Amino acid sequence: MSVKKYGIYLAWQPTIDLRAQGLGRHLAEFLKAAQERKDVCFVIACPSWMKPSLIELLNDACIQQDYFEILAPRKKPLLLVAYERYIKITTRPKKRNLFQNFYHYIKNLVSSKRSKIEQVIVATRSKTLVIIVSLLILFLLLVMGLFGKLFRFVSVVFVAPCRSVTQKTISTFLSQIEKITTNPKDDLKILEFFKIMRKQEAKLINNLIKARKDITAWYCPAAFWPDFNDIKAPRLMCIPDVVLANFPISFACAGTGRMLDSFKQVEKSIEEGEYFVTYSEEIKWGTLSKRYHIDPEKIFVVPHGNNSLNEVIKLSGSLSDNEAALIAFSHTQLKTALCKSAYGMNGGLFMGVSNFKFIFYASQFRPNKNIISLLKAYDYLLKRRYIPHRLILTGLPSILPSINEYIQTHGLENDVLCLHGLSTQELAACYKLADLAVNPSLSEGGCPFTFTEALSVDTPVVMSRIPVTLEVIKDPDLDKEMFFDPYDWKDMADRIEWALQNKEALLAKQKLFYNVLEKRTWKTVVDEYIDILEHISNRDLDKIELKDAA
Amino acid sequence: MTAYKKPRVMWLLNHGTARKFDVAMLKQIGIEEIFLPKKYPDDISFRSASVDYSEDVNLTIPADELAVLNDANWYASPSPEAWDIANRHFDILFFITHFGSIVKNIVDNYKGIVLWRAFGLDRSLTYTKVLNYLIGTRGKNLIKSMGKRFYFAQAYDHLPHIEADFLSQRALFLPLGLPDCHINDTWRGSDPNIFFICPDLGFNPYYQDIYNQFVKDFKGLSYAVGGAQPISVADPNVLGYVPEEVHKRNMREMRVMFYHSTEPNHIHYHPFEAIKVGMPLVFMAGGMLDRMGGKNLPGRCKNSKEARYKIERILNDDWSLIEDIRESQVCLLDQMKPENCVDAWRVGFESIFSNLEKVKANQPLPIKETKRIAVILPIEYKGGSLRGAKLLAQAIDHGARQAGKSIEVIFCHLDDYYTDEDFADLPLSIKRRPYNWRILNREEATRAMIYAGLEETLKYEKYIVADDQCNQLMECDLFVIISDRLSIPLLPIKPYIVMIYDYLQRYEKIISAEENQCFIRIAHFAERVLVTTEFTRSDAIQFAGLLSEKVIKLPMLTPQFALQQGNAENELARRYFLWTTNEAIHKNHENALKALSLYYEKYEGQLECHVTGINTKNLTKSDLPHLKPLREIVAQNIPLKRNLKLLGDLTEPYYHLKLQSSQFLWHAGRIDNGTFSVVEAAHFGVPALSSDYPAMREINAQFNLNLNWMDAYNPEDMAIQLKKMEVEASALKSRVPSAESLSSQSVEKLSGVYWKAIKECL
Repeated sequence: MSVKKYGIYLAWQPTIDLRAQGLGRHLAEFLKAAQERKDVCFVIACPSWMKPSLIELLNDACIQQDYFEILAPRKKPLLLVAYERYIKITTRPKKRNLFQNFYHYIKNLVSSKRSKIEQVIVATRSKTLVIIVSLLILFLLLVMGLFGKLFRFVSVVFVAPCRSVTQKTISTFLSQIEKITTNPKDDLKILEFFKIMRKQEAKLINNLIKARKDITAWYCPAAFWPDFNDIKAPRLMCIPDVVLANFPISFACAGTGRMLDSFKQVEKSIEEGEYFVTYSEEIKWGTLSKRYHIDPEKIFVVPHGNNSLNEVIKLSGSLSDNEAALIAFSHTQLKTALCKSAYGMNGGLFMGVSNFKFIFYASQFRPNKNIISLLKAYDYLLKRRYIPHRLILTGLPSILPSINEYIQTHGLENDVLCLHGLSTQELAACYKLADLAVNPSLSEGGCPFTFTEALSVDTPVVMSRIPVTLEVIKDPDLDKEMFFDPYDWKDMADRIEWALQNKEALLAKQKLFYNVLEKRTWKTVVDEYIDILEHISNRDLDKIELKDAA
Repeated sequence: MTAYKKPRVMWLLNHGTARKFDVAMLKQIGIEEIFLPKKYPDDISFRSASVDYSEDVNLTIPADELAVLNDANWYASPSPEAWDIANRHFDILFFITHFGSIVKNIVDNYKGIVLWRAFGLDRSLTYTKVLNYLIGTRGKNLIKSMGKRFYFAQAYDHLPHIEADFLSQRALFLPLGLPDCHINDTWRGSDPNIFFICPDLGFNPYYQDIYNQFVKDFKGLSYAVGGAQPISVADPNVLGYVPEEVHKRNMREMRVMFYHSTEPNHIHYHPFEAIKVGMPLVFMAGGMLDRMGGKNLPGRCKNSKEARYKIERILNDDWSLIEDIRESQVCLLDQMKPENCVDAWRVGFESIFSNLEKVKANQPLPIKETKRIAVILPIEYKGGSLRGAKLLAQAIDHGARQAGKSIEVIFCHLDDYYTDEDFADLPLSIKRRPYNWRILNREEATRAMIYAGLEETLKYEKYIVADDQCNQLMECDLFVIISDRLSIPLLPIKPYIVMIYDYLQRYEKIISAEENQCFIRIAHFAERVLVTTEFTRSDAIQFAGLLSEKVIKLPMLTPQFALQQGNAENELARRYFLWTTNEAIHKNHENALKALSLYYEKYEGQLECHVTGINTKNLTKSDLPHLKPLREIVAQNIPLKRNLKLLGDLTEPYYHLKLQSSQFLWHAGRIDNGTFSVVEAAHFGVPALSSDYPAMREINAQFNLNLNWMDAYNPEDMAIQLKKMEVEASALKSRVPSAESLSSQSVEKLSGVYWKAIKECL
C-alpha cells in the first residue's frame, strides 16, 4: 500500500509546554486517531526547542514514535541554551555553588545598593571603576543574551564622556537587570527576543520543508504563525475562531499590546492563507467569509468529535457496584481538586469534604465566556430562589478582575469555587458529581465540549443558545429545554432552576441525542481532515465529498 | 472574447469627455446596452458634467423601468425600486466617489460586478485616502465585503502602486483615452500669447496656487488664461466662459500652450486638444506626459526657467523650435488612441466575464442573520422621555415585523435605576438589557477599534461604551440612542442613530458651551439624526450644523390610553384645569403665575388651577433663581393662592383620572420640542390651551387637535385665553378629535416610516 505523507506545522516560541496547551491536547488526539490510518503518515515540522516537549506529548498519548517523523532544526540557538541554563540555575532549589553565590551576591548588591551605586557611577572620575562596573554588567548581559541593551550600554559607557552619563540612564538600566533576573519569562523584552528567535527558526524550518518534496500538503492547527504561509506546498490552516474580533472592547480592556501583536499575526495568517478549516459554519461564514472576505470555497468545516471523559474515570475489575465505586473515586478526585481553589480560604475550608451539591462550568476565564452573567444568575438562584448548590468554575479569577470583584462584592467566596489547573481525571470527576453542567458562553469556535463531556459521565447540561451549538443540537424539544439566552441572566437562571428540578428527565432526553453524537469519534474527524488534505493536494474542489458533519 | 450573453452596463458618471471614450470602448468590446445617469448633483465639482440620453434607445428594458432609472439620483440614494431594476437588468456598474454614501448604497443594494472608475488624483491624495475621508475606515470593509465582485478600474496602470492592498489587489486596467485622436492641424499661431488653462480660480486654492506660480514665472510675457470660471476673476487676461467659436479661434491663433502639471497620477484633456490642432505644447517634466512621451521631447521643461526660455523663443518667432515641438509632440497621443486602448479593455472585461457567472451564483450567507438593534436610553430618563423611548423601540420592532424582516430590538437602560414596573408595557418581543457607561482611555479604545477591524485614528483622550457586562452590545448591528446628552464621545465602533428631541439650548441658557459642543459632536458622528418636528429639524441643520440629508423627521409617537374608572373627583364640585409643568426655566412659570393672577382678579376666573409634574409640589417655595419671584406673586394675590393647588408628581393612573375630570389642560411653556401632554389630553377628550410656538403647531397639525393658542410672552393674553377656555369648555370638548381619529397616529400605524428610517442604516 502506498503511504501518503502530510505535514503538520507547529511553531510555538520557546518555553511553551505543548502539553499545557489546548491545541497540544487536540494534536495528541489527532495523532492518536491518525495512527489507525495505515495509508497516511504525518511529518511534524517544529522548532528545535519543541522537539523534547513534542516527544513527551506523543509518549503521554501512547503514540508510537516511529510512526511519525519530526522535522526540526538540529540544534537550539545558543542564546536559548544559555537562557534555559540560566532559568535552570535560578529555579533550582539546591545548594549554591561558588559561581551562584557570586551571582546572588551581585544581584543582592545591585538591589540593596542600587541608589549608592548610581551615585558612585554618576559622580566618578575614575575610568578604572567605570571599566570594572562595565565589565561586570557586560558579563550579566551576556548571560541573559541582551545584545540590544549591550550596544546601548557600550555607547553610553565608552563613547560618551563619564560626565554625560546621567543618573537616570543608569537607574533605568539597573531596574531592567533587576526585573529580568526576577521574572524573566514575563519580561516584554525577553518575549520580544523569543519572537525574533521564533521568526528565525521558522526560516530554518521552512528550508527543511522546502527540501521535502514527498510531503503533499501541510496542516497548521493554529493561526498564530504567518510563516506557515511561506510553505510552497498546498496548505490548510485551522482557524478555531478569532474571538478578539467579536469581543473587541472586552479584550481591549483586558489585554495589552502583546495581545494586539498576536491578533495582528493571526490576521496576517488569515489574509495570506490558502485553505482553511473551521469547527463550525458560524466561523466559516461569520468570521472568515464576512470579516476576512475569504472565498467560501476555500473553507472547510470539520466539527468536533465526541470528547468523552468517561474513559478517564471508568473503573474496571470485579467491583460489586461499579457506579458506587466510580462515585467514590470521583469524590477522591474532587477533594484533590478543591485544594486548587483560587481562594485559598474556601479551598482549605472544603478540603476533605466533597459531599455538597454543585453546578459546574469548565472553562478558562475569557470575556466571551460570559462568566458575570452566570454569576448574576447564580447569585439570584442562591439568594432569591434558595437553591442550595455551589458553583464550581475552573478559571483563575485574577485573569479578569471583574469576576473577582463580582464574587467578592456579592460575598460569594464560599459558594463560587474557582478550581484552576485541574487534571483530566479531576475534570471528569467534577462533571460526574455535578448536578448540572452549564455553559453560558457567548461565542465559541465550535459546539462547546461541555455537552459531550457532561453527558459522557451522565450529567445533564444547559447551554447558551448560540449559533455554533445550534448547528449541532437541532432537536426542537431539546432546544426548548436546554438552551437559554446568554445575554439574559434571568433566562439563564430560570433554565438552570428548571434543569435542577427536572434533571433526570432532561438527562434522559439528552442521552438519546448524545448516543448519536458519540458515534462521531476522533477517527471520524481525522478521516475528514485527511480527505481535505488529499483534496487540496489535488487542488480539485469538485471532487471532494465531505462527510456529513452532523 | 468568451461567448457570453451580452451584459448590460450602468455607467454612473456624468463626465462628458470620459463618457465619450468609455462608452466607445464598451461598444467596441461588444457591450451594446449602457445606462447613463440623467441626474447629477448641483455641485461645482460637476462643472464638466452633462446628461446624455443617446444610449436610452439601445436599452431593451421596459420603458417604465428605464423611467425609474432615469429619475433616480445615483449619486445620492436611489430608491429600492431603482436598485431592484438595476439588479434585474444590469450586470456591471461603474461609479465614482464624490460622496461616501454611494459606496454604502452600492454595497447594500447592488449584486452585480462593481467598478470604481479611477482617473487619478493629485499627488496629495489617493483613492484610499478619499474613501477614508468620506466614510472612515468602514469604507475599506465595505469595499472588501464585495470580494471579487469589486474592481478598482484604473485609467492609468500605475495608479494602484500608491493604494492600499484592498484596492490595489483588485486593480483592473481600463485605460482612458480620447474618443478622437485625429490630427486636424488648423493652428496658425498669429497671436503671440501663451495659452494657459487654469479653471476655478475664484474658489479653488489648488488652481489658485498654480495660477499664481504661472503669473510669477512668466511675468512680463503676454498670456491668456482659459478654463471655466464659475466665479469671475479680476485679471483681464483670464478669459472665463467663451463661446465655442472663440475657443476654436484661441486654439488656432494663440502661439503656444503651456501645461503646468507635474502631477504623476492625473492629466487634463487640454494638452491633447492642443496637440490635435497642432498648437505647440510646452510642458513641465515629472508629470503624466513623461510616461506618454519619454523625456526627450523638445517641449518638455525641467524647470520654470527652461519653460520661460522656450516660451520666449516661441513668442519671438523661433519657428525652428516651434516646428520641432509640433512634429515631436504627436507621439503623446499614441497612448490615448482608442485603437491602442481597446485591447486592454478587452482583456479587462474577459476577466470580468469569467467572474460574472460566479458572482451571479453567489449565495447569500447560509446562516440566517437576525439583525439586532439596541435602543439605548443614555441617562436616567423617566416620564415622557422613557415613554418616548419605549414607543420608538416598539415602532422599530413592529415596523420590521410588518416588513417581514427578522430583527431583534434590545432596550438598553442604565442599571440599578429602573424597576420591572417601568417596563411592564414593553412588548415581550423587545428584550431589556441593563448597562453602565464605561470609559476607555485612548489606548484601550484604539485596540478595540483594531480588533473590530476599524483602524480609525482616534482623536479624543476618552471614549465611552455601554457595558452590559456581556459584550458591550457588540452583537448589535446598530445603536439608536435616545437623545444626544453624552458628554464623552461614544466609541465609533458601531454605527448609531441619535434621536434628538430639541435644541433648547439655542433658546435658553441651560447648558455650558462645552456641553453644547459635546452634544453636537454626538449628532455629527451619527449615521442619522431623528427628530419629531420640523422645528427641531431646522435647529439640527441651522444650529448644530448637520447635513440636511442626515436629519430625518418622523411623526411623533403616542401610546393608546384606557379611560380610568373611578370617581375620585366630582366634576361639578371641583371644577379645575390642569397645568402640567416642571422646574425647568423654559416652562415660563413667572408669566404663567402673572396670567393666573389676572385670570382670578381681573377676569374673575372660576376654575381652580391644579399643578402637576416632577418637583412641582413646592414650586412656589423654590429657591431657584427663575422660580423665586413666584413666592411674591402668590403672596400678593389671595384668589390665586386659594385656587392654585400644587399636586406634585402623580402616578400615571391618578394623573389620568385627574386629567379626564379636568376642564382643559394648560401648557404654558415658552419653547421646546412640543409636549406630548396635549395629545394625551385629547385621548381623554380634554381640550388644551397651549403657548403658540412652532413645535406645538406641528403637533396640532399631526394629530388634528384643534388646540387653542396664547402668547407665552404676554400674561394678559394668557389670562384672556384662560377665561375663554373656562367659558367655552363644553363646546371645546366637542372639537377634540375622537379616539378613532387619534388611533390613525398609533405606533402600529406609524411604525412603517420608523422602520424605513432605521433600515437604511443597517
